[in-house]
Parts: sequence; structure tokens; C-alpha cells
Amino acid sequence: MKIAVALTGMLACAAAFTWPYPAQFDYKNTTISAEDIHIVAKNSKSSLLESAISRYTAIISKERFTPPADYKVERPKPAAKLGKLLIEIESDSEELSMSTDESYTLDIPAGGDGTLKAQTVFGALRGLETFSQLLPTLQGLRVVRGTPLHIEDRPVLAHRGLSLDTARNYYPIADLKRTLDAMSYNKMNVLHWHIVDGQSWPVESKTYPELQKNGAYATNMRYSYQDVRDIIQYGKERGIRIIPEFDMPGHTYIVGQSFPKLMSCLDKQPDWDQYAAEPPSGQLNIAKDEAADFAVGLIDEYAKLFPDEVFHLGGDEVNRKCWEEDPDVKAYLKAHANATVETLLSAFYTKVHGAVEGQGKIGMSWEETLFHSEYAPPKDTLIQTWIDEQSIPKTVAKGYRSIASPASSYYLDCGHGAWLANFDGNSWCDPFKSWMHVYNFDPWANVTRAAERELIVGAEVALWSEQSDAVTLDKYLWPRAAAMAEVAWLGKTDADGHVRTTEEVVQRLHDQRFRMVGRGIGAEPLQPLWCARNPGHCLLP
Amino acid sequence: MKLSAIIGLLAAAPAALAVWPIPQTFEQGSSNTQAHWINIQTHGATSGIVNRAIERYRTIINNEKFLAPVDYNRGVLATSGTFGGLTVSVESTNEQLTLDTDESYTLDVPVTGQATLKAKTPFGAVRGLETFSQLVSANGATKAIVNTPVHIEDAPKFVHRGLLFDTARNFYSLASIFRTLDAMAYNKMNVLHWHIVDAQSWPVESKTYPELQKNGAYGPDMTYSYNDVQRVIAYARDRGIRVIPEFDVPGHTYIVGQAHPELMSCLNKQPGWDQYAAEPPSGQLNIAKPESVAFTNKLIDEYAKLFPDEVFHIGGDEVNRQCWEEDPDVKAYLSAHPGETVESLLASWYAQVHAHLDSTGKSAYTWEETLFKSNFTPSPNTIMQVWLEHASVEKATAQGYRVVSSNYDSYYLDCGHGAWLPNFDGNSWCDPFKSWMHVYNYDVTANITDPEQLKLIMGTEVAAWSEQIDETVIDPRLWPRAAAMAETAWSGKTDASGHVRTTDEVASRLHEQRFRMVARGISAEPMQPLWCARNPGMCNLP
Repeated sequence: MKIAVALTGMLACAAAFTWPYPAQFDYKNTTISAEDIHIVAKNSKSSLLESAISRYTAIISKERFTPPADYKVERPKPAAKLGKLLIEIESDSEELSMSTDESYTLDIPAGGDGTLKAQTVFGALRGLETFSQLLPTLQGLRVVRGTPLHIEDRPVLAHRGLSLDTARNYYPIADLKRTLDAMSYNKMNVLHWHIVDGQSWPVESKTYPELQKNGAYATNMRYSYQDVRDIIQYGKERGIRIIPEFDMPGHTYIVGQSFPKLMSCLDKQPDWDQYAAEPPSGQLNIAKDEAADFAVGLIDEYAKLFPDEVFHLGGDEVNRKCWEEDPDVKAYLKAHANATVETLLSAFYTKVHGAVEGQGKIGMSWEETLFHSEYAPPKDTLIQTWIDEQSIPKTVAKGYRSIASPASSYYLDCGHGAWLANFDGNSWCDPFKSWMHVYNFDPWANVTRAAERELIVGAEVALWSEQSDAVTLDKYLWPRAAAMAEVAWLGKTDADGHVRTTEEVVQRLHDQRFRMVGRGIGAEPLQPLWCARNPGHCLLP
Repeated sequence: MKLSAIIGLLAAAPAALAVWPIPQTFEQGSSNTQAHWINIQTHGATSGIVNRAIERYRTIINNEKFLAPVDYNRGVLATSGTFGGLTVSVESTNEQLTLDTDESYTLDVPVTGQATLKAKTPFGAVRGLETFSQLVSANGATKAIVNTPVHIEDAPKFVHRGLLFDTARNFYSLASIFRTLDAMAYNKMNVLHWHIVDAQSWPVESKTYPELQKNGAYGPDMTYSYNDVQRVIAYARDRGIRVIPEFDVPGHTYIVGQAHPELMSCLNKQPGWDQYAAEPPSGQLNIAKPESVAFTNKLIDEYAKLFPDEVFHIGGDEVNRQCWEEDPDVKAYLSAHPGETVESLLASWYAQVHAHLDSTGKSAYTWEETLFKSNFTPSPNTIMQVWLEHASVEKATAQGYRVVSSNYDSYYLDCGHGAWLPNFDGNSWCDPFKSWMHVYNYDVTANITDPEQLKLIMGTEVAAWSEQIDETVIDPRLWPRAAAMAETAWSGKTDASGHVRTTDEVASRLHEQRFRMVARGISAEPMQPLWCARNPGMCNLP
């Protein structure tokens, strides 16, 4: 009965059909027409706001979105129409950081001008996205339903991210920009750019130009400084921070194409599995000062290219045997009786994390740096957990901030079969993570103390690209990343403490999927269209 | 050691192994032939099919600047001969496309001078042109055919190399169907099993019952007119692809009830639909009503004319008994006829419908339940589509029926994508995902030794049920996995020496086929990091 009531409620007023749903949404039942869109900044000279206004004016004017459940709705006969949307922001500051205020208030009366108020230009961006989702076209007429309506909105998590791997396979700039567009439609605000890995080094380096020369897949599969700055600017215009990851000391085979002397266990075949999580094998040689110096040189270079305050150092899937068998490591350990592979690794981490601090930045690191090494990262380090959902409570119990990327819920590449060509088996992280499974994950599970819950600062889905490239990018990401985005923006519960269920939200996600397709994102369908049109008729009894 | 020997060969002359599916006989030399422009002409009698195929492939080849991923740094090859055009000749210009159509061809490309393609039929020429197109690679500013002279003799192992396309759960535009037919032709597939209607929608026009489409299509822009269907059939035929329509009865017919509720049982039971149907919405033709037979037979009359193929799929899957046991009309009928049961009603319903289909001169094609899970005995010329388990292949051929296998555990390409009922955070019913290796490793003849039974295996068919697919994502769901089946259906499981081909042996060619398809506008999935595609044998499990 409860579901039926909830569904009826949503059907009665599809004004509620925004994704993610706002923190507070009050609406009545008057429909007004909104054929002409005039968005005006009342008091701002921000060029970011100006470009956002023209962008959303174009999106809305072009868009003729009809929610699937409204396919037979009668043409509304509104008595009033929307006037302008007036935007007021408190500050013209265009600084985008973890502490940027993204809150906004949106009012649309039952006729006349609407108002969007925000502390920052980035709050205004979020409000514009919400506004764009309040404008369905019903039998040819663009309207706002549910007026007068009042929205007060702000995110629960400061970091709502997507990790994209552009090294296993390459993604052209146009695909990255389309992904940033799609993220903004879901109020996501961090692109974690896993820009290099064992297989390729697409990004330009001015310090070590040979890395790209020998490491990019091809001359047309590269990111120049100009490309990177273009992406950073494109992200910023959508309120999205770009955090680069330079994964070390593992996942660095490709460095060995230019600097084999810095490497251990380079390209072991055919038993690569003894030395690396996947082929090709190779790790920076922790017995060599030159390897740490090289890493510090990279950090110094890229900390300048990427302006974000956070810098991801990787630190995942480090293989001990790779070093235990390395001649230089063996010689070093023989000459230094108290040294071990673990102390060498800690010393390496001390140097590279120190270099990040030296650049005035916050380190971000995969959970192994904290849990599977003897090194203690600086206390402000962001720990990205992936191995175990219980790593989140363990991280915050140690006083570190946590970004949740559990493979069991947030790895969007899983469930697609093995990818080693002689192995007819499943992916290591089977099964596929359905949108329901993504939505049901609770980043705060098993964390009860308020001080520890506050340390959970982010959630991030990941697309590892062993089996993905530009051809399949959209369908891997969407709408499943959107499922995470709502939880990260809105939290798991209503104001009354009720945990939102997938059946309660499915109709809004259908809307969001079709809206995204309309905006040029190749998002997957959730169900037969019949189900999207007949809410509540495709539930498991 | 064996593996490294193969890798060595690949590194030396990779493009020579490039054809997918691999031809039955493939001899090659060690020269390279330069081609500035690909001329193709006919010799002797010809046909519209051949002429249009030549035009198509001339465009594809001359526009294509394709290099296999392993050849990324091969540089400009030295050539010792010049391509002098391809001459295509066919023995017969008969353009009939049937189960008996000969698709064999012989292709010779000398080091220098004129290449020849000879075939018995226009459709053999179509297959040979596809093979020829895969022999041509970019070479600097021109093109090359490597490892000439090339001599190929080729013919398919199985006559039915199919793809099931479900246009009812979600709609597909004609453009996406045409694109899929193109992709099938690139893989020498020859049957589009068009699952054109199902419970959720009825997109196809009916002149007998116009209300079916009027009330059943998702929207006026989501329909197939007679003209649309005829265009699909003609487009497919040009590519040697037969179009078999499926009108699934008596289950999966909720949408009929939107126009003719009087013909239905258990229409749209909610929320307990699972007692009455495999998926929502529920509804089956009412087997107690003679009108449901008359309705079905008129549909057969109409669509047997619209679809010229000699095979007609009549469905018969996932029939639910409770739906009828609780139906008032069925109950009334059974109480008036003490000797009758739901099973006898269903058997007699099938008997009337199949007899009518047989009378059109076509072969019935049906899901295996009609044979194994009903009391009806289909006529001997019926083709059984197996899906529930591989053992059904043996069982059906033992009874003398022809069989196409769509064993779900290997060939259902929609599996492994999570549940699709939004209140269920679980896996798909047919988990896990079927990787291309898993598709490739299926052997439709496994456990069957009787030569008479082996002869009854017509082939294989992958299926893409569309609960979670529409045209936004259809390409990556199909390709390259359907291509994996296509090779085993065309080339068979073994090479001439009897060796069963393994996935690590064929991966490099499939990479090449995947990138070729992408270059031709098919959004096929990548199989691995590009690094692996470029470094054969380096991404194997030790």
C-alpha cells in the first residue's frame, strides 16, 4: 500500500521528477507554461555564471522531454506562464574546492518570475540543472508542474566522483567532455582522472617528454597540456573538480618503456601473475633513489598542471615478490641489515607523500597505503577504499577521511566476463552491479559515531577500462553512476529517516535516463518501455 | 612452445590470418601486393544481388584505411606485385535465398594481376566479397594485400547462423536494424530471427487486425509498416540474410489483449503476475475459445505472405498452466468436457495452429517447449529451437527433428546484466555474462555422435532479449560476441587437422574484426586493453 501511495503521489505531480531529488522540495498543484526561457543574472559578473546561463538556455530551449509515464497525458491548459528566472548569488568567487558551497534555493511561483539564490556560482549551477529538469513538454507544450514550488537543496557529500581510467584504453577529449556534461546532469563534482597506468601514458610531460613519446598508444591518442587545461576548464564550468591520479609505485610498466633502469620486474611473461595484478608487470624500484626522485619530479610537474587541491598518488596492488626478486633490492637489503622491503616501501611513500605536501596539496591514496603498508600517511590524506566495504569504518576509526569506492558496489566494469583471452570464466568482481545494487549501497553503513560519519566525505564509482573504450563509455557509466550520484547528493534517507528504496525512485531514474539520452548521452535502458510507462507494474511480487 | 610458435607467426605476418570467420581452406604465399584502387567487375552472367554487393564492397574497401592493431608499427610494406582488379563470376544468377542456397566460393589473389572470385550463386559471391574486403589493409597512402598469392576455398559448416532480435520489449529504428544486418554480413551470418512482437508491444502493421498495431505499438513513431518490413527483407536479402519472423503464441500475448481482450486469459494480473507469466505483463490466448485459433490462423495467413521465407516461427515458449487453470472459460469448458484437461486443450490448440501453418507450405520453427513440454507432436518438418539446455539438442534430434541451438547458458547475450525488476537487487536469471570466450567455446554438436542426428543440427543462433537493451546500446551487446558464434557456425569448431580452435588462438583475429567493425560504424565492445591487442599472447592467464 505504501508503494502505491508513493507512486500515486509522484504521478499526481511529476514536478517531483528531478534527479537527484532535492533535499527539500515543497510543491502545490498548478501547472504553468514555460515556452520561452529567460534566465537572468541579477547581480553577478561571473563569466562562469554567464556561460552556464547560455548553456542551460540552449539545453532547455532545444529539449522536448516527455517523461515516459506521461506519454498519454492530456495537453495542459495553463492559466499563467513562467516569466524570467532571476539568479542571485552572494559571491562572484570562482574558486572550486572541497569546501565550495553548492547550496541553492529555487522558487517558482504559479506565474511570473522565478528566483534562484545561491551562495556561489557553483550553487547556481546546481540550481540551473534542477530548473532544467522541472520543464517537461506535455503534448507539445513546455510547462512547470507543481507550482508554486520551493526547493532548498545542498549536497550531503562534498565529493561525488567518477574514476575514469584512460590508460587501459584511450578516450578522446570529446568523450571526456560528454562525460563531464553527463556528470553535471547528475550534480556530480569530481572527475578522478586515472590518467596513466601500466598499459599506456597518454599525457604530455615536460619534465620527461619520453614518457608520452614512448608510452602513448599513438600520436592521436594523447593528452597535451592544452588538452588537460581544456578539460579542467570544461569541468570547472560545470562545477567539477579534476583530481589526477599518477599511480605509483605499482602499475608503472609503461615508465619502463622510457626508463627501464628505474623499474623492477618489468614485463614478466608468461607468469606475470606472480608480479602484478594484471599484465604487463613492472613497479618503480624502491631500492633506487632515482626512482623516488623521478616520482617527485612527476609530482612537482603535475601538481602545477592540475590546480586542484587534491592529488592522487595511487598506491594500490603493490606486489612484494616483484621487489623480493629484484637484484638491486636484494643487494640493498644485504648491505643494510635492518632494511626490509616494507621499510623501503615506507621510505618511498614518505618521499612522494612529502612531495605532495610540499606542493601544498592534500594526498589521496588507495586504501592499501593505509592498511597494507607500514607507512602512516599524513592525517589529511583522503583514503579511497575499494577492497572491502568494512574498510570505510576502519578508515574513519583511524581518523582518516574516506572516499567510498567499494568494488562490490561501485566498480562499473565488473560482471562482464574475464578478459584474458584464454580464460572462459567470470570477472574477478562478478556479478554486474545493477543500478539497484549501486543505489542500495550505504557509504555510512556500520559507522555510527557522528565524528566518524563526518569523515566520510565522498563516494566514487569507478570504470576500469580493460573492457571499455570510447565506443562503450556511456553505457557503462549511465544510468548507474547516476544511482550513486543521488545517494551522494541526497544521502540514503528522507527527512523522516525512511531509507529510500529502488522501487520508490525507479520512475525518476527512468526519466533521468531518457532525459540523458535526449541530451546525447548513450545511457542504458532500465526496463522495457512498457514498464517505464506503467509504474509499479514490473515489480517482483 | 606451441603458443609461442603461433605468436611468432602472428608477429611476422599477422594480417594474413585476418579473415573472420576463418575460411575452410586458406593458402597463402609470402609476397605483398600493392593496390592503389580496388576495381571489382563481373564476368559472365550476373545479377542485381551481385552488382549491388560489388558496389557496396567497392565503397567499403576504397574508403577503409584499416590496419589490424598488431600491425600498429609495421610501416610501409615493400610490395612485389600490383593488384589488377577482382573479377567476380557466378554459375547461376538464381536469386532465391533458401535453406538450400549454396554459399560456397573460391577466391584467388595472385601476386600480380587479376584476382578472381567464383561462386555457385550470387550469395556465395556476397560471402567471397566480404572475405576479400578483409584481405585488404592500409599501406601508407595506398593499400596492400599481404602474403600473396592467396587461395581460399570456403563454405559454411552450418546452414543456419542466426541472430534473434527482440523489437517488442523495446523498439528499434529501421536504421539500427539495417546497421545490425550490415554487421551480420561482416560475419557471414545469414538468419535474422525477428522476434517482432511480444507482450509489451506490437509494432508491426496488420491489415487483418489493424487494431493490434494501433493499440499495441509504443507510439506512432515506433512502428513497422508493411513497407518497412519489405525494406528490411530486401536489405537483408542483398546481404544473403533470411528474415524469419516470430509471432509468439499462445503465451507472451498481453498486447493482443489491448485490442481483443475477449481472446485472452489471465490478462495483466498484478501484483502476482509471477503466478501467470515469466515476466510482466501477463496474458495468454484463451485456448478454450475457438476464436483464439481463428485469430491466430488469420495472423499466420497474413504474415506468411508478408514474410517470404520458407520458415515461420510460431513461438510456444514459457506457456503458463495456472493462467488457464484459473480462467473461467477454461474451467467451464473442462467441466462440460470431462475427458479434457488443460494439456489436451493446449495440444489440440497447437494441432490446429501448426496444421494451418503447415498448410501454407512453410516449415514451422518453434521453441523447444512445444516438443518437450506439451502433449502435442509437431510435424516432422518442424524446426526446434533449443534454449533451456544443451541436452535438448540430442533429445530433439533423436526424435528426428531439425534443431537450431540457442542454449541460453552460452548464447543469451542479454544475461549477466543484473535483475531488471526495480525492487530486486539481485542477478539476472541467467547469470553470468556470456563472454566472447564462453560463446566461442560452445559446441552445438557436443555429446552427439550419431551421424543422422548430427545432420539434423542446422546451426546456432544468439539471442538479444531486449528487457535491458534498446538501440542506444544494441551494438555493444551484440558485437563482438555474436561474431564469436558466427565463426563457430561458419568455420566449425575444428581446423582441417581436427584440432579444436581455442580462444587464445583466435583472439588476435577477433581483435582485428572488432576494430574493423568499429571502423565500419558498428559500436562493438573492446575485448581488452589496446596493449593486449597489440601484444598477442601477453594477456593470457598463465
